[in-house]
Amino acid sequence: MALVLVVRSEELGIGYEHDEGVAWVVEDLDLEVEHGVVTCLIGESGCGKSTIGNAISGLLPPYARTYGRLVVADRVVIDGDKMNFTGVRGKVVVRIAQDPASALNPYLTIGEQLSTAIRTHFPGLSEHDVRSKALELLSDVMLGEDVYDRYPHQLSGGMKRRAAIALALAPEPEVIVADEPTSALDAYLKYAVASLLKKLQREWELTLVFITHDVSIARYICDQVVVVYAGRIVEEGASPRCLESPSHPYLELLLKALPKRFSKDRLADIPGMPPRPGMYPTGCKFHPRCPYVFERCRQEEPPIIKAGDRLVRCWRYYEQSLT
Amino acid sequence: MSSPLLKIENLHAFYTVPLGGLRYGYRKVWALKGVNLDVFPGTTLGVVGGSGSGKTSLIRAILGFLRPAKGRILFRGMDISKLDRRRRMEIVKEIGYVPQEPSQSINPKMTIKDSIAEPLRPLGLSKEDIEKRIGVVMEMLDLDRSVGRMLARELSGGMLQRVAIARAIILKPRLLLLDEPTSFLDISTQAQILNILRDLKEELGLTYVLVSHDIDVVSYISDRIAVMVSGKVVEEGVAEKILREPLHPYTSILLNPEGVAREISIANSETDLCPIRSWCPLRMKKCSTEPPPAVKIDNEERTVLCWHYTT
Repeated sequence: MALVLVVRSEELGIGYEHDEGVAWVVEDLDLEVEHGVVTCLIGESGCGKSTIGNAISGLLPPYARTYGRLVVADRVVIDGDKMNFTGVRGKVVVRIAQDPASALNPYLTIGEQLSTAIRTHFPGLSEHDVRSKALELLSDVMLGEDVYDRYPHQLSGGMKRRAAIALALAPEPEVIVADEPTSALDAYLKYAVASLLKKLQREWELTLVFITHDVSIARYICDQVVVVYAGRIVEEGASPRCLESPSHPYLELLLKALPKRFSKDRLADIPGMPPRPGMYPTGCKFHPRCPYVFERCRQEEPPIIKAGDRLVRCWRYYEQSLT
Repeated sequence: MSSPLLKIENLHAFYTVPLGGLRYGYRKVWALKGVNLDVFPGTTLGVVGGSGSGKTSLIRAILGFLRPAKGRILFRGMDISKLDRRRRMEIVKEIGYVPQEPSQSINPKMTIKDSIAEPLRPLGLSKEDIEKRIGVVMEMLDLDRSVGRMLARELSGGMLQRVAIARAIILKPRLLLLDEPTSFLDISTQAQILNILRDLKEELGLTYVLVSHDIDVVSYISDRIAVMVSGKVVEEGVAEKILREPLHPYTSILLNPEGVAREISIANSETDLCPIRSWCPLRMKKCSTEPPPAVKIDNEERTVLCWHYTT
């Protein structure tokens, strides 16, 4: 099958305006997401992964500034400093927030909320079809028909979460951006949510952009891994394999900093902290914390380099890529 | 074997919550339903469990924020829930506490130095002594002197958590209660804090009770592990053994959550019956009629609350 790109960014930059100018959070981002895959954006807080997610789903705040281009489903949504998400936001791309249940209206039954969404996106449908479509959505997220007539407060936390996911699917989107849908959940619930999203993604042939800081969930769900540090992609691979054998020093240290179940070896200390937007260092953005740093890293920012089965933004792989 | 530093016997505790649903009145919600635990000096007990399992309530009960309805909390052989105020002050000095979210536990209007020194105030120490102690703990936690003059909002989560730990150890406690000390932190800061906690334990000969929902964090630092569900300890034993061979079905799920790709329910009812009886793979007839017994196995080293292991 030919490679169909659903999300493509070309030298995309996103920043936020403040009193003294613009703090650029994401710079020169070249992200490509294929149709029908699960792409995980992995990174620590403040690295810009949510900003990327919000940009794709068209939910950047009014004080956001951009440059470059972002194409979502053949529509140029960001072109330079102009944004146009009409017909894309909430239709082609939907976002599932960390607490999806907060998307539900407490005054309306689940059925009313689903039918409103269906009527808005599919105006020609008869009332009978709207109802059967809503019930179908409920069964897709493994909820019974009785949920149709219930109010959110009558549902358990897990049911509300699934109802909200059904609501997100009502416009039949192509891309779902899930921003940390599993954080703050118990371990087994994390996997329950992740496997539901994966199941829906397969059945509906959706593209899922899954934003997380949880490496084990990423390993479980993703087809493509994109590791973000200081607003750039530092490592990208078409399989979860880079989470087993990392190339970029940041990913390597990050994985060594995770506690392993049967090892009491000292965890890797990554010295310092991730840089704040607007205060990124020169050269490679990871160089102040990198154990392999050499002179070139301080001067020049490395390009993204093809190294074996993946892309890495590190000078250590530069020589290798020339041969 | 030496006697336990902290011994919890048959601890019960409840919260009173409004009835709700437009009715007037209150009802009891039992958060702890008979917890038995021993913590020996110089060891770390890791307490794991899902949300609502009573992990935090256990810590709150030890701290005296939650009054036990039944049972005893023995610290150095004394029941601390029954001591009078003055005696309690004396004893409780030896128990340090690191709360869940540092940004909410540190006074935003106080400088970091004052925050760290606050627990020393009732002791009536001289100014030099206080300065010296602050210097020592800040150095132990790798906090720069300049941090002392800052306010909480100027610090990152990881730095604040270090401040919270500094504040907890400044009274030179024997026992440190850690309630999810890293759940709000990134992976790299989590590693820093866990390493610091391990070093401090060595240096100061501390005893930890560490509560976390992350079994890998618990396994990194604990000697023994207690698994809690619905206000009860369902499995307790040597960390290594539990990790290699979990016996209680709930422990197995905590260790291999990817195996259960569905939402499972924990019955948080008032009955004493097993909370996982609705989906447990080892379910027996007895499980829905009688509460599970505490079974001792591995030479009395491990306790499992399950009918399956009765012979």
